[in-house]
Amino acid sequence: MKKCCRYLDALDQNAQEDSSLWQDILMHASRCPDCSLDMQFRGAMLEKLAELPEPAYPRSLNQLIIEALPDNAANPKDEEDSGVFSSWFDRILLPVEVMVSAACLLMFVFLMHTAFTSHSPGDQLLHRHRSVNLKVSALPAIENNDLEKVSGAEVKDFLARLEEFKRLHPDKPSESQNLTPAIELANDTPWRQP
Amino acid sequence: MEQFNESKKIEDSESNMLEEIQRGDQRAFARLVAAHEKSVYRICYRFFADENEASDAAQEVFVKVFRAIAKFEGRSSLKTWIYRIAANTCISLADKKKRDKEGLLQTMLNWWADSHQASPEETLVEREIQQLNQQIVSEKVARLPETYRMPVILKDIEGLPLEKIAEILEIPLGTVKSRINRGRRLLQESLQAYVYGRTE
Repeated sequence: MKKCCRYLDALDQNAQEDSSLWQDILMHASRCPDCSLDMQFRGAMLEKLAELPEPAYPRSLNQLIIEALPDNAANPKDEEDSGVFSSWFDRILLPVEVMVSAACLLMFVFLMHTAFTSHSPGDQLLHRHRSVNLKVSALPAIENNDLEKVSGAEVKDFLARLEEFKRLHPDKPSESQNLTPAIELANDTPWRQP
Repeated sequence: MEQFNESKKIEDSESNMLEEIQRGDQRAFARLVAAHEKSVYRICYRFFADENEASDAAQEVFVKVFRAIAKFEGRSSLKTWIYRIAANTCISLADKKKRDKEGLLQTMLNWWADSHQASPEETLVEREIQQLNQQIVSEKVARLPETYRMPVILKDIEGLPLEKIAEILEIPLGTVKSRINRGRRLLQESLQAYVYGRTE
């Protein structure tokens, strides 16, 4: 047989707040063995709960709690004790630290970028070519008036000496071989007659 | 009139202590801990029915109190605020513990198995009640689902008024009542099952 739960159901639905309904429930509970038992048990249970003794508090409870607090809780005055100088120093130092860190980071990114972009042999050649062009363009401009007049005999003599030199040093690689024609022209000074 | 003066005095001293704490006075915070440590530990102990867990929870409660006290605006009393932190901490710790240990389904199954150990039979009420020793009651309270556990503890063990419980748990009064009723019923069923199981 199913147990009657009318009393417990009524409690669940806050029936105590409706006095007439609650009277009906109490009347029912006094006659119904299940509800009567529940009612007595409920009363005894609430009594037991209310009479539960205080737990045994750990002896070191206060110490445990204080120890568990963050460090600045244990010594909140430490910061003040370290003085105004320290706090000002911290305030100044902090932005400096941030800026230095940011600069290092930027430098690192720049270096990494440079290292990766100029890595291939093609890029190296291009870079070299650019630097040579840069050297040429960096030379001072030569005005027509400043140019030394060279006679045809001098040219002939130069070419003859050049031929002679090439004949005497056929296998020796010339330094100017790696240079562009513009550089060859620019570097002809040693071959000039004084 | 005397009672009014007494409560005014307590409020004033609480307000002074709060100001000192918010200024960073360590001794004032130690006074606050000393004033509330037992009530906080008691709630935690009722909730977990375990000394170690209650101690850990109490420590965590005061760490939270320390961190948040600068933002305390005094909308409720300091005691209510600390109780609220204690209740929330207990519930979240229990929830974490449960998640760590087992899934929700397993918890429900355990509760079901625990509260249906034996079918109720006609027994003398006096004898049943004698079976209810305090340790068993404490353990059964600590095994209530978290939703109902704290309202039952605050109402039936701590004896707080419903309005205060609603303030502490930040839930409507109607919800407090229904949770208490539901919690009591679950507790009663669990205790009855225990008693009948033993007297069978």
